[in-house]
Amino acid sequence: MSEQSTHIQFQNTNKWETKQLVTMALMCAIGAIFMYVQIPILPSAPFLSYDPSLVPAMVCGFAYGPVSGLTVGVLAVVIHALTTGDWVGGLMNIVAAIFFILPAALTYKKLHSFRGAVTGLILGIVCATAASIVSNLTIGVWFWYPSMDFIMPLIGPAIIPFNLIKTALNSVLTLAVYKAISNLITPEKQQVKGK
Amino acid sequence: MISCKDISFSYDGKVPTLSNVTLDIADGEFLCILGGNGSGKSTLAKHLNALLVPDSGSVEVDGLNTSDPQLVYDVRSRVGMVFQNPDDQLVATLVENDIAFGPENLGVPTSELSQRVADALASVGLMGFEQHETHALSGGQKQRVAIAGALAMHPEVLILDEASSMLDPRGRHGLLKVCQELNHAGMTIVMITHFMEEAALADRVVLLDRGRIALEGTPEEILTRADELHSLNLEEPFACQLALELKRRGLDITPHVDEESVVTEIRAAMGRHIETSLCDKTAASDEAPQSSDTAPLIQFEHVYYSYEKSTRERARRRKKNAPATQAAEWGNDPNAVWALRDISFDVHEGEMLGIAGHTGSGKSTIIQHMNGLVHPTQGRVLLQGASMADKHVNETAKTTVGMVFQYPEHQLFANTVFEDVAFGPQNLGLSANEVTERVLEALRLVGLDADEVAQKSPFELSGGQQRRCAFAGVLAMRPRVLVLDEPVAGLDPAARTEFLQLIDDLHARGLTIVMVSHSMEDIATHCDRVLIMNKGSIVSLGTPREVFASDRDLKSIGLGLPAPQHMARLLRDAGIPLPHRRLYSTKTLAKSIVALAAGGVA
Amino acid sequence: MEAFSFGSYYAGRSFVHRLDPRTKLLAGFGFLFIALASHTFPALAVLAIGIGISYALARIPAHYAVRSVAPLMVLVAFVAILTLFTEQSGRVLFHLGFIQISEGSIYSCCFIACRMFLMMCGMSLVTMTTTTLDLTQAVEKLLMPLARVGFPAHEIGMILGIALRFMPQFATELSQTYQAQVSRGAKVASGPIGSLKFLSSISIPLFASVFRHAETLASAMDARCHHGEAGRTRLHPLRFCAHDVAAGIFMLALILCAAAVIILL
Ligand SMILES: Nc1ncnc2c1ncn2[C@@H]1O[C@H](COP(=O)(O)OP(=O)(O)OP(=O)(O)O)[C@@H](O)[C@H]1O
Ligand SMILES: Nc1ncnc2c1ncn2[C@@H]1O[C@H](COP(=O)(O)OP(=O)(O)OP(=O)(O)O)[C@@H](O)[C@H]1O
Ligand SMILES: [Mg+2]
Ligand SMILES: [Mg+2]
Repeated sequence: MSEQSTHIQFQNTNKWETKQLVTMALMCAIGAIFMYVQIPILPSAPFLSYDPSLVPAMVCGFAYGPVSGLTVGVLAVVIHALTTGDWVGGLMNIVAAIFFILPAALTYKKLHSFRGAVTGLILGIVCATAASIVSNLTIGVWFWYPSMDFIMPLIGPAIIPFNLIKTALNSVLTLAVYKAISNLITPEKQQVKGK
Repeated sequence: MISCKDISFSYDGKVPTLSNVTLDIADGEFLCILGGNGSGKSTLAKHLNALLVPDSGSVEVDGLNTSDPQLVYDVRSRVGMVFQNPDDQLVATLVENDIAFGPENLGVPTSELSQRVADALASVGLMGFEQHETHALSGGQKQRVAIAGALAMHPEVLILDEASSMLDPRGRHGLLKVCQELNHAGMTIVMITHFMEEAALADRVVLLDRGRIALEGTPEEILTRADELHSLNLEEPFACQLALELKRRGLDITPHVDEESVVTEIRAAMGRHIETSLCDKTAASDEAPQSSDTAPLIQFEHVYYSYEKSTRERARRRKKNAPATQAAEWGNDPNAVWALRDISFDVHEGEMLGIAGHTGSGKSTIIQHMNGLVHPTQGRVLLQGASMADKHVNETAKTTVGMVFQYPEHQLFANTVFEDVAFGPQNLGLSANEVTERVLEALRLVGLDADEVAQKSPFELSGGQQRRCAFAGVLAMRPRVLVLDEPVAGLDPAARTEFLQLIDDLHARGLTIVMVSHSMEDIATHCDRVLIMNKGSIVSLGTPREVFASDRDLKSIGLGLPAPQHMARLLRDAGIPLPHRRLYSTKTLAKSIVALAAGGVA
Repeated sequence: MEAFSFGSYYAGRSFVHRLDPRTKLLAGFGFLFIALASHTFPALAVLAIGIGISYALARIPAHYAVRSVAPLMVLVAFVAILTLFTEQSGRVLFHLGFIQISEGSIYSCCFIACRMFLMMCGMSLVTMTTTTLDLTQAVEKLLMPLARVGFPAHEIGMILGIALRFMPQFATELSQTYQAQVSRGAKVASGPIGSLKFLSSISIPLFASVFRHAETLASAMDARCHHGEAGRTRLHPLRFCAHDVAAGIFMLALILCAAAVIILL
């Protein structure tokens, strides 16, 4: 075969280690697939349906820190928006992802225990629900709804309960998943037992 | 080309994974590394590529030391690597992007890239595949793309880490041919494998045992030492097995690793007898015909199945693809309308039924019908005489028929082994006591020690234990029929034997077993009846003797014969009058040959 | 195997198909924002003409276009119907209990429906004429300027690419795990605890598979000299060409027309 004579010199400019990058990418893929899962949970608002798409991002946020979690959450939404063409819905999902993942992952980073995870997730539930109200009132009103008055009456009966249920389901699922796979994330030798 | 000097390496600083390995690989050599699971083969391979650097000792590629961070990319561009699982080494959606990934990283100018892609594809025999999507390729094709991706970097050495172990026989064969061609063209090949037939083709074989080189030499020297191989969880190639068996029975034969030389040896050894006993008597069958008068448990009646749900879509496709269906060289045409066509057969109580067929022939589709996961588009499937279309029967089917899918360990999910095995019984709504009882029973059946593993996370177990745990999860449902989809895929020879033994034991306890397998040997030796599939229809169904001993050519549909059967055919072609219409195992084949050599009639 | 086809790409070689994905992405966003600024029917009419011309240039069969926009129409219909009952002004035309429809509500209903419909047509034209692969490349390229300030644009491109590659595979794995767990008697609906258990029994194996794949995939990438953006070349680098200039001019004209209509009327 051919001769490789010249010396190759590169700098490794990657922000993340290859393995972390790959894991994040695969989590993104799962998140994007989960968006196709649509489980309607509130009869009063059939277009609001539950999907577990934020779970991978949250798992990543717990495993690798808030920035990675956020990246996964946002990119999964971007992929979905680019494949389906629903960019405006994507924008609202990004807001939801940011406000769900960031508080939880930050808290867990500070308090690396089961209690930290639960506290973080509860914080995430509150923030994400608040953010969804705001994004419905802003992004929703800019792009979709005719006016503020239109969405106001829906906040109490639909948007708040829906987002609470959705983020709570995501949180419980995250805990279950993270617990089961936590010893796959860090190799045996470095692992701190009992979280 | 590559020289490893006294390398030692440990992942955790305590247990050495490699200790004092010294190995030189010459330019243009075809080297094979063998060893049981966990012997350190992959770890060694990663050292050759600067993916890992030794704790002590040194590895030099082309005189470049791998532990010099300045030279890492030089080393990697010289040594290409292909991994085991075809699914997880391709990085891009399109074939051309994936192949270009390496050269792109090396900064090869854009104008040259597409030429490199085309050349690499040509050398693995996939011309014109640039625009195909990687996920839609068959396993064998994916591995070839992975090789092409390494070749596009113009490496001097190609390392294949069990690259063929997850492929079907056809894919494996193709891959091996590609490697040999590359080797002839001057590429240095380092191949890691569990298949001794592949190792037999190498120039030199290195056997690893717990991080040390145990044996080293030509395949002829190494692969004929049966006892040492067995102690390392390996086995000798079939040709050699036969030769050794013959030797044990008193025929003077030097063991060889390839079939041809063994055939020549046998001919030479019995040359003088052949003239005298040229009377090829077609001997009567030596096994009683199987009586299958037990009650049919599962019945397929003219089952057709299509993955296309609506009839309109089906009709549209049928029109569009009518001529193309013929054109599919092998395997189902991916656009074929029917995944199954007119399938009728029975599974009898207490039997062990083997299902074989090339990739995409519909094996997995058939077995999914057996517990009502999918319903036939036309025709019916009956469970104990009642149609599974009935909701109630369908419910019973879930408990009567236990399904072990391919790589069942990939379905483990619970926190502990106990909970995972208990998942099925709990879904049945049983009491806690009964659940516990069933879990313990199931763990015992698969040979896991409940005290030791029950409270561990299933993800902490070794690969073989995980598979056992997954088996237990199905057995805990107390099924009457156990359906297994390629139960021994991806295991090393010793583990394969253990698992087949486990399945035999379960069968002996009265469980009806349906087993899909790519290995004709396994099916021929273990199953009572064999079902051969081709393009969604049944080609033949009968006892292994009826299916394999008849001279019907299974090759034409992309399947091989069991190794002893194949050898018997070679011997017959070489003029040795072995009787036709017989199903041989290594032992019976050796017996017949010895009998012939002694001047008798086989 | 045609396991899973995500997205709504319609293969073709039309003028729109051959545009640089960056152009299309930017044009799509541009269109979204003009639509946002349009508050009158005449402005919408200008946009409709623009979209009509684009669809004609893209040569996408009508039934295909309809099928790809249809899922988004659920939301349009929902918002439109709600608008009909909530936005009230002008003469009341219909009154029954608490339901009331006025002239104003019909007007807003039609307006909202038309505007949302146009927006969705615009967005879905981009996805119909561009593969997701190209779009992710465009995203990476558009983010590149930010790389100077330490933004991981290249890494994001990598992540998007790998994610796209693995989506069909995970979809297959998901359905296999689903079948396996169903064979062990798992049921979709059996109370909240049950359904949570069901959900975790099929998602945990998927997550475990992520880590299994990541190990080899990372090795495979490292073995092929993955090292980040510095000194990397491309097989098919994105290039703007005359088409893109033409498309840019078209877009600009559309914006100007719309602006003129908005201001003048
Ligand atoms: N990343 C890792 N971290 C810690 N230990 C590891 C790691 N990879 C492998 N090992 C351990 O090193 C030993 C040798 O592993 P290696 O993968 O080299 O074996 P192998 O011969 O390739 O086996 P197989 O046939 O299963 O591929 C095993 O005991 C394994 O548990
Ligand atoms: N989910 C699916 N959707 C559409 N077509 C499918 C699906 N699964 C399988 N097929 C098609 O049905 C045919 C039979 O597939 P099946 O999986 O039963 O083959 P197999 O004999 O089990 O192959 P293998 O040895 O690779 O496991 C193939 O042509 C395949 O392309
Ligand atoms: Mg290995
Ligand atoms: Mg199969």
